[in-house]
Amino acid sequence: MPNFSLPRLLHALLAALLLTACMEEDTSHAWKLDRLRVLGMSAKPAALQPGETAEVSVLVTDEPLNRPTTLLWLGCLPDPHNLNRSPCADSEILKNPALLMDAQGNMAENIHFLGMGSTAFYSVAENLFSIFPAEHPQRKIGTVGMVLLLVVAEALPEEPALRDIALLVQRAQNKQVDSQITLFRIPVRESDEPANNNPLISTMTVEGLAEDTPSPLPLKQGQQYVLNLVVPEESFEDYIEITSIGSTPKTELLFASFFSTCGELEDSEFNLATSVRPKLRVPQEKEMEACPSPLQKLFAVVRDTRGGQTWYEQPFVIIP
Amino acid sequence: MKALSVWVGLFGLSAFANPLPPAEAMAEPPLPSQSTPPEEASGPPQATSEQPQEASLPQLSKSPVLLESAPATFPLEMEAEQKSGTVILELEIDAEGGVRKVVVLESAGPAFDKAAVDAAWKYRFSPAEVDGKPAPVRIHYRSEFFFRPQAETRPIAGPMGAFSGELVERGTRAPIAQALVVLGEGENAQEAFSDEEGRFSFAQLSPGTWKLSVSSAEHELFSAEETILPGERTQARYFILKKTYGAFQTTVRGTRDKREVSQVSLQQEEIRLIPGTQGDAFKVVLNLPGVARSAFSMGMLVVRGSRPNDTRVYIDDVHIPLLFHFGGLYSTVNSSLLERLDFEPGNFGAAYGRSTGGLVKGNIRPPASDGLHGYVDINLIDTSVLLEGPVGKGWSVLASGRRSYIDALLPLVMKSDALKFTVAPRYYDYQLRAEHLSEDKKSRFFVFFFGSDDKIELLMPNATADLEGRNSFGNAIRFGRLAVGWERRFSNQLSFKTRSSLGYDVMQIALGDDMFMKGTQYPITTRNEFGFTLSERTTLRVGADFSLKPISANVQFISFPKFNQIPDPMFSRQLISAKENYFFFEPAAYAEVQHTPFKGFQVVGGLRADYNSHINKAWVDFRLALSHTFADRFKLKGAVGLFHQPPDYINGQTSIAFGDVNLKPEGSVQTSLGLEVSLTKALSLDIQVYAKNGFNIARQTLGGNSQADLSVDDSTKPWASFGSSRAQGMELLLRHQLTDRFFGWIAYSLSRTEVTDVLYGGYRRSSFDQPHNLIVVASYKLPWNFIVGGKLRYTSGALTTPVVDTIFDANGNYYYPLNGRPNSVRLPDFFQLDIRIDKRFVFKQWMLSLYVDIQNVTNRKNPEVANYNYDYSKRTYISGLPILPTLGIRGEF
Repeated sequence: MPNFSLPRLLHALLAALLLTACMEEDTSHAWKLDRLRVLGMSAKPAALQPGETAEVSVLVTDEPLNRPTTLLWLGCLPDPHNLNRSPCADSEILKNPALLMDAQGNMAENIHFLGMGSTAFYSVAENLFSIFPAEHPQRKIGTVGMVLLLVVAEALPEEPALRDIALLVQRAQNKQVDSQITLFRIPVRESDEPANNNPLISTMTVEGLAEDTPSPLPLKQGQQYVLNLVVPEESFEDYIEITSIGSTPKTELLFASFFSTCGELEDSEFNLATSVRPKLRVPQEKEMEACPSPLQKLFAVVRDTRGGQTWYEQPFVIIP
Repeated sequence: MKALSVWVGLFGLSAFANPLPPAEAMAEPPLPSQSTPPEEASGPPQATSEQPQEASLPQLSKSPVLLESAPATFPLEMEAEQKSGTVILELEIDAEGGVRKVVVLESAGPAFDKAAVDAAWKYRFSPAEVDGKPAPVRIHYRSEFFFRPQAETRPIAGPMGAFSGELVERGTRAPIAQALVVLGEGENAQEAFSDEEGRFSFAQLSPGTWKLSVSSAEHELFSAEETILPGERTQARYFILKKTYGAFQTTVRGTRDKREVSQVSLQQEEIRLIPGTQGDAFKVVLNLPGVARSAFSMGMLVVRGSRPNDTRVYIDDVHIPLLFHFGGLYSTVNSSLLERLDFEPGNFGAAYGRSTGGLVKGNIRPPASDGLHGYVDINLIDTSVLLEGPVGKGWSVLASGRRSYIDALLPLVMKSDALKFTVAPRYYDYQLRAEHLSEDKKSRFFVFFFGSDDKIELLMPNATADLEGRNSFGNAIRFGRLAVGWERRFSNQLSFKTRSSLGYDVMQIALGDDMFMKGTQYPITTRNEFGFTLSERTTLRVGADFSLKPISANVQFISFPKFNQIPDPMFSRQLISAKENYFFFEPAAYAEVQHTPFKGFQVVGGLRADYNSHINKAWVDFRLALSHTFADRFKLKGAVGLFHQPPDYINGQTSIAFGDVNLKPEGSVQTSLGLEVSLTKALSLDIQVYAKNGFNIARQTLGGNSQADLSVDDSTKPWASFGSSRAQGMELLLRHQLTDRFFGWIAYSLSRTEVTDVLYGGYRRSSFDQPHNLIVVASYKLPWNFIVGGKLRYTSGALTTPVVDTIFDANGNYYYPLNGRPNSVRLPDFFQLDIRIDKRFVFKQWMLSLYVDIQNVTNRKNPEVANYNYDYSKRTYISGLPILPTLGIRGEF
């Protein structure tokens, strides 16, 4: 929580509410896929106990160029005290990725190279919380393991040397190549409770189209469609939230984010417990310059309250 | 028998504090006309009148009023010669209102002179007051002797009549004292002066129609005809139009007198007419040199680069936690209640402490005692009302309040499913006061109950920003004070003043159900001060200033992040709950000596000792101010001082759970040097330079680094007292005092403010740095009670921190900015022109004002903050208000 003066915060909030008309128009939208993006990251299992390993995967898009990409995974040791002092969360280091890895490919202390490719594995030491007495609450409150992913829009050879990797990191830092750095936290704690599961998405539906309509979904030019996700009830998991204050029984909330390579999305982010649903307006014929190919994609990423994630890809074709 | 008329008038008041200056320093002699010339104020005096050589001296706050007069005897020898004459006298009036010296300035011959002087020795006045205290003064007085041969009068058959009346100021209903009433014409003319209650009377009048004329320095000439009936007393009440309206006067001072590093004195009339301030005296402070403009013109008092919380605000010596509603809409205390408003940007005296910024002190005026008065003011945002009047002997009371209706209007304007107001922003404030003034005017007692309440609650039905589902936000700030004050002037050598208060402050903020901060405190304060006049050249003030604060804080929140850390969006695993109860004890004692070793040179030195029980620290501050007046229109001044304040506990810096109770008191060494010049009677120039060096400032600490030992519980607190700051600047004020038609000023500040650079070492520009700050204000009175005013403001753009890169936070589903060097980019400069047009309608017993206040007439889009798109690849600006006309209507009686 930043240092703020309450009256100033209040007035800043009011000013933001009342002066939205005074902002210059912003033509970029988070839902629009038109560059190298990381849309979501997921760990299996979604939370770890000491001694466990999670497989981490990522949803990366690079529309419309679809360039070959290199994915570099780095991991920072979890801090048993959860004081958020990891180099993976240090803005001064992240501005200069070379601090994570030097020119020879050597990693800084507390940082590990997890590998390259579409997935990586993150392990937690069994004795993570051994510095605490057996019944210390911090064991149950837990901490986070941190994963950094550097996605670079350039391919490396199949078995690159550390130096090649370091050079690529440097090129990314110098903006010589498109890149995106992503931070992901995996909850780690000792718990007798069932582990968190990533939510499930059965399917994506479009109002006006039958559920069993084969992919790609045919969407007409100039039409607006209401989209939805079918998420099984078991994805809304009950759990006990343990914090320094105490334990509280809760039910997970699920939040969805929609993305599209073409068209206009409205209400692209929503709480699945509300009645808000995204609307996709398919471009008219005269607007098809922005979407030269009739074959396009929709993505949906769903996050739960405890850090679980999943995603769904739905191709669609624009028909006259 | 010859009936002769003698006409005397009272002109050209000029007042001086004890000791009286030499005669050559007096104001200009009165002009040979019945009405007082516009340049010479004769009504309730301005704190700085049109006498430039006194602009920097103690201020006349109340003129003497003639209570008892004695008619001058027309000299027989002059009568024989059928001569007329005018004698101009200089009267020295002591602090009790008696005449102690009479000097003839312009002679009309020995006979007339003696007659005028003999009469003048019998006059008795009410005591004049300088800076609120009775003081000896010197005035000019004009005696006119008219010779009129008396025509033979016919005996009147039947009984005589009488006539009495009352003179009342149109619109305000204030009694008009010392007005000359002439009944009749030619040889039958009779004259009388109205008393303090505006009453006059004539006896032994012949029945018939009489012409009446009333003349008064501040009022338009009035004429009427009355019919006198035999054996009856005719009574009348006249409502007379004032030349210049400004019902109550508030003096806004740049600094306290006697030590003046910068000084601006304004009348209530000026304050009401400055565009963009809605007549709020406290907002006028935001337009003075030394005060930076804050984003969106929020009412943050950024004084000489200090943080807003470093400047303290006092009402009747009682500290209040919030000056403006919602950060800048209106002040929380009705500024029309102010008698005086002092603003000190720095180097204030030893009587005040616990602050390294500036000082704003408002003194509330006594409620009206001359009848029932009040007003109703309605505008687009809120309505305020005031009612006041006398109650019993010596007592007067007032009640005032303001209530917004944004909460009613906003939901109509903002129709959005994304945002709902559980409680739309609303505010109100209230003031109740009872005051007693002793008959001898030496004692004053008041009880003042006042407070304020701001609240807002939002609900975002489809909130997706917080993955833990928090979709509500609430904020409330309220405070109340019950203040009691008493002061007494025991003698010319001894005075005493006490102010005590009980209060409550509540500040709360809530985010969802599980994150909240609620702080409640009950400040109990008392300030007691003795004033000793040791000699003609030396005065001593000693005092004690105690504050007791039981505080209860219930907080469930995340800890302050370290300066370089990317926050974890999952707040629940970081929550810290703390219920902390404190009892702050903050005693202080001070002593201050003012000495004038020789004419024109003044030294003010003070010492102050403070203690704060919460951090268990004590400190001693010294203050020194020097001034030298020379050539009657120049004043050179300088000051140096050490200032301390406790760390900001309101923001949790000294919280056991969230901060560090071992933080040191923050300090600052302040110096200033200035020159005041009276260019003309109405035009003055004040220029000064200053330097401030801060130390032991609490700053956020850095988080761990890549080599951090994770097995160690890092006990580094989020705050540490390692910060320092430095500020230098120049302030200039060129001001034209309020005359009949015009007032205005040009204020310019050039400054530089830097703070410790936590990341890169050395110093960097502070967030409050604003190198250029120019304000031009002007107001002109047109015929038919129209007034037009304008305010132009130009300031350097705000500093912002550029975003050099981003990371995508996959847990929070947002891009997080990676910042470049803090405050290394300046937004475009700010420019705004406001205009205001007033039209006043003056009726017999009340006045109606209509006004249009248009802010940002040129509709310039002034960037206030940088705004980025979702991935920070594009930057736009959030601009301030566009052209915004405000309509208002105010009725007062």
